[in-house]
Amino acid sequence: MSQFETLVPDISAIQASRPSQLTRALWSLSGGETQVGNTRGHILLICMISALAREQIGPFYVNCGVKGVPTHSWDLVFTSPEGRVIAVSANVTLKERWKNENLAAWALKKVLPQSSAYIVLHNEDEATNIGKKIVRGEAASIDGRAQIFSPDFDQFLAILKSERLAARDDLVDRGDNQAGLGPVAF
Amino acid sequence: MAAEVLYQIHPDFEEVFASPSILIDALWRRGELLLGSNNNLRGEFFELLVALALYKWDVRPFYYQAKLALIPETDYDFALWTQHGPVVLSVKTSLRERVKQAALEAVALRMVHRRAECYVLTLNHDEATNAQRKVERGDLPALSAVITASTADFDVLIQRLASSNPTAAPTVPLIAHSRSVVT
Repeated sequence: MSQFETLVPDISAIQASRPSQLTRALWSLSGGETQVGNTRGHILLICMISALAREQIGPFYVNCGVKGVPTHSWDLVFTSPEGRVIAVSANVTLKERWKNENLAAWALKKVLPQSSAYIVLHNEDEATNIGKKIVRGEAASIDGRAQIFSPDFDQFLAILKSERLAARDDLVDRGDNQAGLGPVAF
Repeated sequence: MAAEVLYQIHPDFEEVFASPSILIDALWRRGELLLGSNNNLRGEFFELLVALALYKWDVRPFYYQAKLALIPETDYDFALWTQHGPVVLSVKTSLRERVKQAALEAVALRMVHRRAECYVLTLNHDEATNAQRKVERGDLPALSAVITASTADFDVLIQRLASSNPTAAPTVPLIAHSRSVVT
């Protein structure tokens, strides 16, 4: 994070009229394309959180699970006052792990039936393919996906913005070491 | 292809092995040179060895690459039906991050069948030991155990499964009961 702050000292100075433009600019400024492995994933998540901050969307939890759905944690978890969860996985690439996301989403909806699950991706081809899987019913438990630099991402943030969100610590599992963060609010 | 390798190294189906784990260990060693580094082939071959062990030690009937009703988009490597419900075996030559997939599949199964048992079988003993510690700590709560197939733990599992008298899975009507049907 401190490295990110060095590279991008003032997010508000970035000219971007849409969230997807902001994420693209941040990804570029922070050298996301040249990084490898986990670092790329962290940068992607920071880009997304920055867009949430700019849009004043929150509160949300970071790297948390949902109580009753063991084993899986999501990058971002939004909760509503009524006890709904919107779970988001942000990945540079998913490969076969879309199956895990689909199963986790299915389990989430078994525990909290009004909940939803989304995937945000950097990889355009994968975003397209997962979109097709959702339509074909192969990833039927995933409610939507967005490529982080595309208009889909702007629409996704519009959905989030339209939701009534509230911190619900009772729904969130921060993991054994309490490593999950939040609620984060702006 | 994996079946061809198995036939090459194990042409005599009647060959006797002292235990399931010895069968796995012996045939894996024989097959390893022929398998090379093709991970898909290695995985498929390991599955065949597990199938062979189940068959030879009378853990039957078993279902191979089974999709269970009410559980979305999941193929369990092996499934058995016992009086307590389903038992599934997830077979992976090495685990790495894939233990999470098996754990999620187990979560899904247990949400539908509360008393289901879910085992992960692998050949990498160190990974199995680490994952089993997580099971014991409660970090992978839906998994029953992670077992190295070339060790005595596998023999214990096979013995237990054989004694659970697996049967063909029942066919269940989707509407169990209703007072009347209005059409």
